[in-house]
Amino acid sequence: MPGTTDRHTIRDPALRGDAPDSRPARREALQAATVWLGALIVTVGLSTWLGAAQGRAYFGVPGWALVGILLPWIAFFVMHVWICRQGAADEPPE
Amino acid sequence: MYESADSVQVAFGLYLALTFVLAYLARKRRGSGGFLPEFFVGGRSIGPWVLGLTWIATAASGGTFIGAPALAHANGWSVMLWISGYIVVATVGFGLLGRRIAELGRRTGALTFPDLLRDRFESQAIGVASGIAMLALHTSFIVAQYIAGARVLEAVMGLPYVWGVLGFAVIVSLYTAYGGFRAVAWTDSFQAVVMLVGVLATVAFGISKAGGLPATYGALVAQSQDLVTPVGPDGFLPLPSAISFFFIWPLAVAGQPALITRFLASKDTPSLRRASLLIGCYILLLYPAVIFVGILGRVLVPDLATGDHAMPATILAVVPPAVAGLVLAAPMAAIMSTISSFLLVASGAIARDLYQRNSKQPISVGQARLMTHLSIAVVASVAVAFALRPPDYLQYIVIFSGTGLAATFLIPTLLAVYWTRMNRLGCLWGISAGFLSFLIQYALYGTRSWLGMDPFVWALAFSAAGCVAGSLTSAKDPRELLALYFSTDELDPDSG
Repeated sequence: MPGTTDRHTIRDPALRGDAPDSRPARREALQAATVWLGALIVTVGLSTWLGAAQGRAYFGVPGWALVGILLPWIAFFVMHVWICRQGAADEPPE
Repeated sequence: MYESADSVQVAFGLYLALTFVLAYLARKRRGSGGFLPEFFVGGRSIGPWVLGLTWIATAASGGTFIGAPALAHANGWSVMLWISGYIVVATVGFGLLGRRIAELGRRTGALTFPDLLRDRFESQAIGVASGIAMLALHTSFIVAQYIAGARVLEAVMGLPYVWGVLGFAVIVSLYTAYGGFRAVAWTDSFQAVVMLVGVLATVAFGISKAGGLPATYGALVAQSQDLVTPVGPDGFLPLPSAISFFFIWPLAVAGQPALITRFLASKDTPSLRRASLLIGCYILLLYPAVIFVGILGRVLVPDLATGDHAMPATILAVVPPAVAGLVLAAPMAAIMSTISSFLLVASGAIARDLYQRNSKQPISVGQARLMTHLSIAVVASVAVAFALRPPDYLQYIVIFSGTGLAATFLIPTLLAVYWTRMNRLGCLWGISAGFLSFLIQYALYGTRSWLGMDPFVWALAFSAAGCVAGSLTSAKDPRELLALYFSTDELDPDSG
């Protein structure tokens, strides 16, 4: 109706075409979940293990924080870049 | 109150003026796609830079800029472990749902997060229930932001707390109502740049003033050896809590409706991917620096009126007065960008999900505009009323409302978009189990529930169990409905 807002309906005939395949997105989601689990084990595991030993500091940063958090942060960022570039390869044309 | 120069007030004024100019320009650039799509998702035309910056400016709230440095000031280096889940926030925040939600948003025309769930299951009850839950939890998040903003103004200018709360409410409501999503996204982008520059400048000046990082470390150890351990003073972060926060940060962000709405606004999937790269880089620079500010503050400004003054007090102590005002705009920017995004989502819950989509008659553009603006005013007013009685540590409200939202919506949303067997009953049970189990655990055990883990972790498990149990004990959704969301290959795996 002119002058009114679209109430929005999912059953619009324009939506009758093929729905997008969810599998590439699901693969990305599984990748993300795996990275999350790996980061949890590396970060919390290393920090707790090294922190228990009351080790020394490097450049004013406690050893457990440097090896358990800051260095893994950089490594997981590199992995994030790789995942983004890899995901771009299977994008459908839009 | 801490001493401040006039330059601080001038810089604040400039910052606010620029924010309003951007909101004005954004409104001028609005598209012709109708009031509601333009107001709530910026006409689905947001490119990678603005998308990435508005996403991170929404995620980084007063909690990041006021709450986290306050905790670092009190607990030292252990807060670096507490916040370490941010290592994978960009990967998880975009990877779990980004691509799929963006594709479905463009296909179905969903404008709000409840739109997505309501349409996926063709259920008004799900739309209304999720709208109400979002309204309640987003409003409490906005309360936390008002408190944070007022604390900054109190610390910097000596402005009475009540006036600070009212000032934030009026300023942010005005530009949000005026320009909608596009204005919020543009101002967020500007604010994200201010945030990063402000924090990095504070760290650089702070390290210099403290005599270098080794000297800072030595000063911390002289105060207490516990300030440099992963557990922190008084057992601040035992192992179950460290694990819990690694769940909380990435998963609470992934399930945050205000951030999921950003995916709906994206122009296309490549924009989403480039935005994700930008955010990964931004987070790597910002979050460790925010914790450094709190740690430096512990050495340079050990005595504070309240923990939440750690960030502004440190800025005023280390940054030359001539530029302190500009740097102090960083926490203001974080707070304002989050308030505006959450106001938009909460007002969307009222105007779109509870009113327009339940109205028997089509509503006019004028009525939609009026309803949207009224909703913003109502949400802001309710949040102000709650903010007038603030708790001691802001970060706890932020964690409660942020994790509450994700505990309620993350698992039902994931299963709704990826699992063909998920149905209406499964969604309702998943939402209810997540929300109620979260609230009950908080009421019974506070922040340390069974095995010392945060209630969020268990609420996710309850929500998943609710989704699966509800779906498997009731009929599958009709194929006609599933075909709108899943490809033929997925629905008939044996046909190919």
